[in-house]
Amino acid sequence: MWIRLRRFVIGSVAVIASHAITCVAGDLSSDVRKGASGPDSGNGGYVEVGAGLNTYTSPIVGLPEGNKKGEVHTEIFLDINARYQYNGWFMELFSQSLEQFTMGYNFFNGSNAYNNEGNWALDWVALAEHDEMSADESNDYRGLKTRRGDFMSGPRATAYLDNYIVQLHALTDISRTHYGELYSLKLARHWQYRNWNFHGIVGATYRSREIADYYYSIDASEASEKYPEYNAPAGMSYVTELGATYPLSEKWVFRGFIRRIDLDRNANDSPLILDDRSEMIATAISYVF
Amino acid sequence: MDNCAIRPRPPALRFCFRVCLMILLLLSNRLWAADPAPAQKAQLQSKPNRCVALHQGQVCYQDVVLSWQVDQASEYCLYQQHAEQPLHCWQSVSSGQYSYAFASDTSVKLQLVNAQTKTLVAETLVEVAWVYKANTRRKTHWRLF
Repeated sequence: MWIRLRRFVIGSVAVIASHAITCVAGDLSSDVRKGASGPDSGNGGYVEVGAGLNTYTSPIVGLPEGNKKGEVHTEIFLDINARYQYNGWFMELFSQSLEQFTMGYNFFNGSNAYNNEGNWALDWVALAEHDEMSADESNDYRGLKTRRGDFMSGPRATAYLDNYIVQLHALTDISRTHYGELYSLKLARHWQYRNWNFHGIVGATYRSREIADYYYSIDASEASEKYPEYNAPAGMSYVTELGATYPLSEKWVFRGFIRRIDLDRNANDSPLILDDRSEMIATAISYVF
Repeated sequence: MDNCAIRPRPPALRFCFRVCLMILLLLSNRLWAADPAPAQKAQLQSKPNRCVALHQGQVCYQDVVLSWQVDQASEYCLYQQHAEQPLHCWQSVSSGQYSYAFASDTSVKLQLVNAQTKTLVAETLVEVAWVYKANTRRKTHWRLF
């Protein structure tokens, strides 16, 4: 199960998220699909397990192995969504999010002065943002030095304003992998049409030069004909997503979305990046315990 | 051989037996006396009788077909509980069907009323359920462990 989950995370979400480049918080992705209008501040949680079909293009060399520019990959994935919170400590995993497993502490919940709604949240989060790139993960990386997976931490601020959710991440590397920083700002909106819940997300992510350099530069010691020397600059990436969620019953939920990631125009100057964009279409049915 | 069955009962036991019998007879008389006139047979059904929304507090939408049947033809009206205006009325019929576009964030009781006698004839409940319960909402607060 974990192998499949990891494969999904690495093979699809990570393809787009971790290396390419942008991120959408699990909380934001999950909340906007649920049509939430405030932070989840109580103790408790939920677990969902299901299966889904994922079709995507990947802009990263070696993810998946043998990947080519514009090549469409399709795979079945294990859809796991879970969140548990106790006295402010929480952990969350949402397969369709661009984030991976996130741990954190919710230390502030605020109310809007006008309508007294509990619609602000300030958390401290820690999560893996970038997966390992090594010959162990993909044969395409043979001859390259190993790029380790990282672990980043920092504040996450979320505001719930009517049908809108705005979320800001400010993360710094705490794993001594690249010492880089990542900032992301996302805006999400949800609509209800009958029992369908539609959502849209737009977001921008900035990755510092340290991150880009660590994962996408090719230094002189590893340069080859296939991977010529290259210095990656800091970069922006942008995400656009549209999706729908439908309750099939009290226990079964259908979800689907289409997502596009745009990278800086010069992103594919890196020998490790094939394209300046990627797309993903995914659908899943999951059981809510 | 067990001859307890033919052994005479002690006086105390006999007394208890008689008292119990009298209570039973009294109770049965009361039950018979309280038996009302046969009630009018009436049925009101909604199909489906459940609407599932994604999130607690959301309005749930469901096309519901309400079917009803009574013994005596008369004028009947279908009401959503606490509503002043009927959803639909029928004249001189003993059964009917009504397609209803249900939209509510809470469970709703639907009632069939005899319009001439203003009496409630039958009722049914369309229940609203959801997948995710509402967030626990608190006022502004800081917390540290």
